[in-house]
Amino acid sequence: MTFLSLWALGLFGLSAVVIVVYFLKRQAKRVPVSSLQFWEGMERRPRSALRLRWTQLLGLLLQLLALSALVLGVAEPVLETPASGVRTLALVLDGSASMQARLSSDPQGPMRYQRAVEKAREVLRENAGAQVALFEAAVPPRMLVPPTRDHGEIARALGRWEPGYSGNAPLAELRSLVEGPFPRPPERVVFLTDRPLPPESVPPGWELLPVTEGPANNLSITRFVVRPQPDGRGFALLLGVWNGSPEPQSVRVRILTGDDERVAEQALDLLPGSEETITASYAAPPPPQLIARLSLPEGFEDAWPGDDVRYAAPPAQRPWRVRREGEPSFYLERFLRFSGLAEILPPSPSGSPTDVEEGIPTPDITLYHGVPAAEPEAGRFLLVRSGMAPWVEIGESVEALDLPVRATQDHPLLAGLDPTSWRLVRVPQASLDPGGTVLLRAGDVPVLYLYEAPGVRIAYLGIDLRASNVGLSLDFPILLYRLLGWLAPLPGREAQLLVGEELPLAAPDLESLEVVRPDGRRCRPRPDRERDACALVDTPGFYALRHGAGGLPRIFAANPPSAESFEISTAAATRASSAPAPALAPASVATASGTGAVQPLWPWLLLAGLLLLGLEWLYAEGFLSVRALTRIARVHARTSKRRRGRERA
Amino acid sequence: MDVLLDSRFLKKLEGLELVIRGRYYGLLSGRRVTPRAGMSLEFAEYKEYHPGDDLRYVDWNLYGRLGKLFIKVFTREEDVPIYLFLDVSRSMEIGGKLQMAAQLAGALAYLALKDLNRVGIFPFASDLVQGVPPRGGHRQVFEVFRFLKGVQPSGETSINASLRRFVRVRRESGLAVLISDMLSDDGFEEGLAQLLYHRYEPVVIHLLAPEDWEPSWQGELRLEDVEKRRELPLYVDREALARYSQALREYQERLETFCRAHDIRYVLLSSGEPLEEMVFHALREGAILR
Repeated sequence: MTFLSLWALGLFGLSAVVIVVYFLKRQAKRVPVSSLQFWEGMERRPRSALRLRWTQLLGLLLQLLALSALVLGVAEPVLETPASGVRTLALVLDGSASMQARLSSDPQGPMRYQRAVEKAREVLRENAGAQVALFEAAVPPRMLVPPTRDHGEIARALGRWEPGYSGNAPLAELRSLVEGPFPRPPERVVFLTDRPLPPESVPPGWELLPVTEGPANNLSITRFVVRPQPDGRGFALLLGVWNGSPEPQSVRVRILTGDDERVAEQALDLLPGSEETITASYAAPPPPQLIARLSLPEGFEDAWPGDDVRYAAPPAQRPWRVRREGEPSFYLERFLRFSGLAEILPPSPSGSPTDVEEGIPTPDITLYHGVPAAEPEAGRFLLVRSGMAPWVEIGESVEALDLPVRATQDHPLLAGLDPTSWRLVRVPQASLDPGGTVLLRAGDVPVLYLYEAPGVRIAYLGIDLRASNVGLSLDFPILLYRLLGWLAPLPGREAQLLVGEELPLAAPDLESLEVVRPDGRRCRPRPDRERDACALVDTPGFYALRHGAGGLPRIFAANPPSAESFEISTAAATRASSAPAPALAPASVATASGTGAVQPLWPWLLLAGLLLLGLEWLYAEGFLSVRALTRIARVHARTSKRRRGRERA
Repeated sequence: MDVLLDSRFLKKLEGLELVIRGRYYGLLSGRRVTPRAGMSLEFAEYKEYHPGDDLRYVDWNLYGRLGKLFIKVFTREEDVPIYLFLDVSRSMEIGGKLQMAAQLAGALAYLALKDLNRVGIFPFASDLVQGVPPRGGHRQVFEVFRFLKGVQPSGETSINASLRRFVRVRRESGLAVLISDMLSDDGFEEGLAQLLYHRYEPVVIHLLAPEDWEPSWQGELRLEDVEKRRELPLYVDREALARYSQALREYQERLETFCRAHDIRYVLLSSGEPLEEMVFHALREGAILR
């Protein structure tokens, strides 16, 4: 419905003319007469004048009503009657990388996102007439089409849409995005996804429509990182390979440089649903670009070949400087050193985190292990089973072997990690400042907690590393790496990025910064702009950051999140498809255009306008006066009387 | 107005004659019999002989029979002064009354001059204004027509004042034709009575416009008196129109009754009618022309 048409504007103009004519008619007309002697003495404003005024006013109202009806008609309004009774609908399409997987082992079969689009169209037809908005649940989540009643626009957007390579959108962020554009939360939210979400994690009122079906065989490289050796001699290449098929698989992994030169090659046997880690040493400084490729077994139909390749770039900057206070922790320090993450500094003689000895560099992070920390003024602290009043106060340890470890929310620090497999054995009770965020709990006991205040950042980890299996899992170095990164972000340190993240642009001269994207395109990022497309990592591959003309580029490797690979497996597909799905109405309830319940109102408005004009004419001509109506009624009565008389005769 | 009266119309006027009932002393010889005895061939009467009478007119046959001397008296034909009073007040511009009045005056003047009378145009509004003095002869036709073509409306109407002034300055009686809408606030009776008193033969041609008779406008109006430039805000509906028509009719009847009572010829004309219709029918029926 729009009033921006020539007809509507013309009719608007006509209404102005009608009003002007009305006021001109109301104005007393000057009439020259030969003499006033015969007019004098007459009543200046008889009752008929008042009647005429009312007549003119009513005539004007009728004319304006008629014009309004015509203008409204020209604007082509429609009467929308939602078939399912839903007035607002949000369609949320999972835009994560796993949606690119095929639905079955058939190489010609449809992909998950195509099935999602198909189902979205069905939902759209079912809710003909509803106000619909279309969202993509990716990183970052985004709105594809704002709320509209034009289902054609939604259908066109669905036709164009394809998922990217990012991970799953955090549900809290997604929920606020979905509810934002509607004046009230949408009456129906349909989330088309391949994520095997437990019902309690789904926002209330949301309907999950799983788009997985049948077996989804997948072999993938889940991790690929390059770390300096703890002794500083050479580098270690770490690879994770996962078998998501129901059969044991023999695969071969090759590591190549960016120029396709072979660096290493290894064969691997994988059990169904298992992940194996490969470690390779590299003595010389590694090339800036490393690519790991998976060679699939003969005849194996991979549901998503997108995760058969992974990219890695060695870290270019110094490691974090971590000063340990309190008990030495063999495991923790080993993990830090082995992963090449940190340089461990000796503890301060006074035990104060602010004391700095001469000749020893200033630490980035202070690690407390098993001892209560002194209250600092400022700093970055990693507390492992340690308290720091008033933010973290720990108490007695409790048995936690049987307590399930669960994440309290979607958080980037936990992306791709699977804490449910952790066995914690013992965890200390902890009283935490409510201003922080608990990320993990074992039962009700907080295990991972983050606190941030001006000048202070604290990460609390309540895990007994010696007793639990966490230190042996692949999750731990990742979690540790992310915790250190959150505590003390070192500009330029990170060389591994996930699709959906932004390139770290902190640089001395941002104006001369240039980004070379994986497809070779070059662009200049705008750091002042949020979610700048140039700095946004949206496809896997290598991204180069160049400063000025002569500087060496900083290389970043971008990969899809590992979790996406885990979502493409026969087991995951079975889990996701077994999630309860609402019954969809048959497609026949709506017309092919998707707007079957939409009725155009312009013919009725046109008719109303013409009727009003006719009424106004009758009124102006006096056919609607009481006298005229009485006369008509009298004539009618007389005619009826005569007819009855004739009939009687 | 390019031409006051076209030649075709003037030619048709040749067959008409202005009806003058009375006998008036003229200045020049004309076609109207005057009270004076004259030298024409038409016998008028006998009168007893008195010393000094012209013996050539003694009727000797009568003397033979009666033994008394009688003188034969013949009629004398002279011109008659015709005074055309033309209302040029501003009310005459309503409905083209002034133009029609000028054409009527022109036609009457032509007829009068054709019959060798003297014709004068006396325009008036609140008083007499400069017109054309009474003269005879063909040249007077052009004078009269030229004046009537250029006549412009001005001022208010006062019939009484205008005619009073006329009788004060003019002593020669004659036919006085008044062409006016007669819409004068101070009435008309005194003026007409003055004419009668001074032995003029008044003729009233009451000329009204169709708008005067039947106004077509209705609604919220500001009626403006074109003479006095005064406005009267009024809502005019059918009832008001009926009351107006009634008042106008009463006024017109009063005028007509007055005229009839004083043996003044009266004709009511509408400026919406064609000139020929007025001249050849209405004025003839009103015994102003024959």
